[in-house]
Amino acid sequence: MKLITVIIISLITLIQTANAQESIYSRFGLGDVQSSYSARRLGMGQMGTSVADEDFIGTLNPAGWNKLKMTRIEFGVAFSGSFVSADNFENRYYAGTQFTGFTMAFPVSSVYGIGIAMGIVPVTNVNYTVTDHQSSANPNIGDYDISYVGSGGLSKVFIGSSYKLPLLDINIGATLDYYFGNLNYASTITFANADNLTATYQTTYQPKGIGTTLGFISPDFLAGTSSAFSDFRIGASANIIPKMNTDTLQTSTSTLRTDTVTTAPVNMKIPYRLNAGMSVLISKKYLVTIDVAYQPWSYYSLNNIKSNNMRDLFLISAGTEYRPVRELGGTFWNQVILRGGVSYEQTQYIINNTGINQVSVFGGFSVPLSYANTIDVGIQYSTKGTTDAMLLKESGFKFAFGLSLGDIWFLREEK
Amino acid sequence: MSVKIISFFVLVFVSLTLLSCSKDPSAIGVAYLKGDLINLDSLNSYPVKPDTLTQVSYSYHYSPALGYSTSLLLGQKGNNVATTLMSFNIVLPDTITAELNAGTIQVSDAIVRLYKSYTFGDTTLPFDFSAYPITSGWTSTGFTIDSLSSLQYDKTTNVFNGPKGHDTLLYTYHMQPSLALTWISNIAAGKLPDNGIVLVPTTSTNRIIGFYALSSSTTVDIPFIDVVLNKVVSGQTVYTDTLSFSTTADLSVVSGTIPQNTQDDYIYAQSSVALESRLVFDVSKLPKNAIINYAELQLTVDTTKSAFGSSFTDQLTAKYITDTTHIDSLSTSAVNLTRSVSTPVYIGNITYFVQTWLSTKINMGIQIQPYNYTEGVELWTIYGSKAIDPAKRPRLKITYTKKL
Repeated sequence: MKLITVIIISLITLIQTANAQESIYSRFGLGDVQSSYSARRLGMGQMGTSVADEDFIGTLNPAGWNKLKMTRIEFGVAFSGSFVSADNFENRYYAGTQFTGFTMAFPVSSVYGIGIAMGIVPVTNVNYTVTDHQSSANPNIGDYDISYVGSGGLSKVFIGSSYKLPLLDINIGATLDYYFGNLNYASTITFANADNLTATYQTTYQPKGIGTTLGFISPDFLAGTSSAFSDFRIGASANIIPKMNTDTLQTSTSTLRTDTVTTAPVNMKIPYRLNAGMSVLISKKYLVTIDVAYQPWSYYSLNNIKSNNMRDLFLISAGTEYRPVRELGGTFWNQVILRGGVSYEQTQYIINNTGINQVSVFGGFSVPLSYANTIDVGIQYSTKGTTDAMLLKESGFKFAFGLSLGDIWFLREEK
Repeated sequence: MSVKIISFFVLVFVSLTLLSCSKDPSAIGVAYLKGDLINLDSLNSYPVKPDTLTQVSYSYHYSPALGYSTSLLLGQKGNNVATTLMSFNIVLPDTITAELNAGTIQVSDAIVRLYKSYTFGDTTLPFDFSAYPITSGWTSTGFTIDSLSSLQYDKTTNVFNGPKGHDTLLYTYHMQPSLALTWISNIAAGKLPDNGIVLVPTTSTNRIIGFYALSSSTTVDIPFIDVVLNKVVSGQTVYTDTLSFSTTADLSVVSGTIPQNTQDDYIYAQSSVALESRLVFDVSKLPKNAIINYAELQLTVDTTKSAFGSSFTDQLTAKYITDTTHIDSLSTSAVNLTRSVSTPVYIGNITYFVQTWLSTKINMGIQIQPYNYTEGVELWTIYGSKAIDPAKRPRLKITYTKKL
């Protein structure tokens, strides 16, 4: 328990000092969509809609909690590094860290496949800092910098449950999601001439609203038919997000004053998201998954105004996980889980009439700490965008670290 | 084993985090963000265009109380007439009081000592004045040029009727002994102190001199009166004593009018008189939510029509007028406008003023006055809003940031 406390405190400290440089494209819409909340899923292509784990809390599909055997707590952080290059051969390296979520789940009934989970996970992430150096011929202005800083994002708190339909062996799940966010966009001008006062205009959006996630996982279509292949399932989930009430605050700040430019509640329309996938277990050791995701961001609107820089998101990914069959007396290395994956994402961004696409390869592993406890590591290398059409190409890697802790809670002692 | 594994990953993560903190800001990607929320712009009153800042300026007369001035101005120059009032702090030893009450004391001489601190005008030009006993009460607090007309004094008797000593710094005047005797006798008899004297320049005077006043930092060079007392017994002078009394109140007032300005070219700022000017720029062209990064006021003086004394602070002060109905309701924050020696242009940073106008939506303009408006009689002749040469008119240069 002491160890867990130390780890939690360390991670919280890191989270508080973290400052991820995600993507300059995150200025548009609500920022980068976070498909993967965990190092474990990141390692096998971010998705796994049809996978039900007994030792992992997936957040993409609540139907996947039906196999939980223990009470679990999971959280993680990620380190991102990105080489951004422009068409003028200018390039830059950005890096930062990011909190990737906290989840908790416990099994209620293995017979009915009831597992209850809750947590807080990021949904989108806005993070960029760009500084433009300018020089004016006007002697009263001289040299000055304008820095554009975006931060924050949309998150959700969820609580939900899985349930196995009797007879049909179909697992379903649902969550109640409370979305909330704090998206800040600040532009600050500073002057080399100390007489000139710094000015900042900041716009903050604070959306909030209640949504739901519904999902199912099919029965094993290969049950009892093959010794080499098993657990062939399909699954799907849908995030339904109603219009969200969004408090908007625009302020102007200088050394002399801070003034509220406008403050008004507006509505924000975030499109639903569909995830679908299938998975199969080969030789009881190799899990193979293929998933797709679709989210029509072209319907995104803020105050009923759509963005010209948004289009529909489409993601396809494939992943695999090698999990050695657990045996008594197995060595440490016999318990290490390996993962890999690839994905292609048509992101929701369309800039200068050019769509921004992303190709990623993934890898990862889990190492055991003790029985039911693992440290998960996921690595992603991706290229996003292009240097054509005055755009940016972001080649980046992401190291995600997660801690997955299992314990037996709520177990009534026999008398 | 678990602790080692966790330690390893925490170490890796901390290292990566620290590594990520060393990035410098870059302009890469600014093409998508340029103008995002913010835009820098400027607005100048010159050169004059339809979209520039229009302006109005004029001068007016203001009567400051000069009781706390560190100098006593006396003389006449142009249309400025400086008059000085002073009364003395007469404190008598008991022995002298007794002798005075016994009638055995005579005043053989009374010499007023004034120490020069300032001159305005050619020192070779005539300087003379008359001194009259004041017959009505006055105080140095709140006394202005407007109060002078109600001051009562005996204009028939010039009490400085003796020889005048004009040293480099020390000016001495012999006052009628009888007047001095009356003053000290009144004090000895327990009567109210006298009201002192008023010094009025003669019409032939063509310069102004400043003398150290009671309020000045010096205690040595303030005005004094030396009263020479003789004790006379049976017609014989038994002893002679000299008592010195500093002023208990002193001040000067300066009358003046706005100089002739047929072209309406100029606005003025003059100390002590005081002439002040009001300057109003129409800043309604600024966006409502603009942030003022810098606002500079430039005033160009006509040095040929300005006049300065022997010592002064070469600065003007600007304050913004806060009340729509009272021109003398001024901001507590003041901006000093200074100039380089080689230029006739006074410059000051009035960013706060312009931002306040924008925030409060009240712009009653700026008051321009000398930095030391209670000292000296310096006259700044400033090109006004109607100056024929637009380049010499007051200029307001604003750099501001607006929201897009």
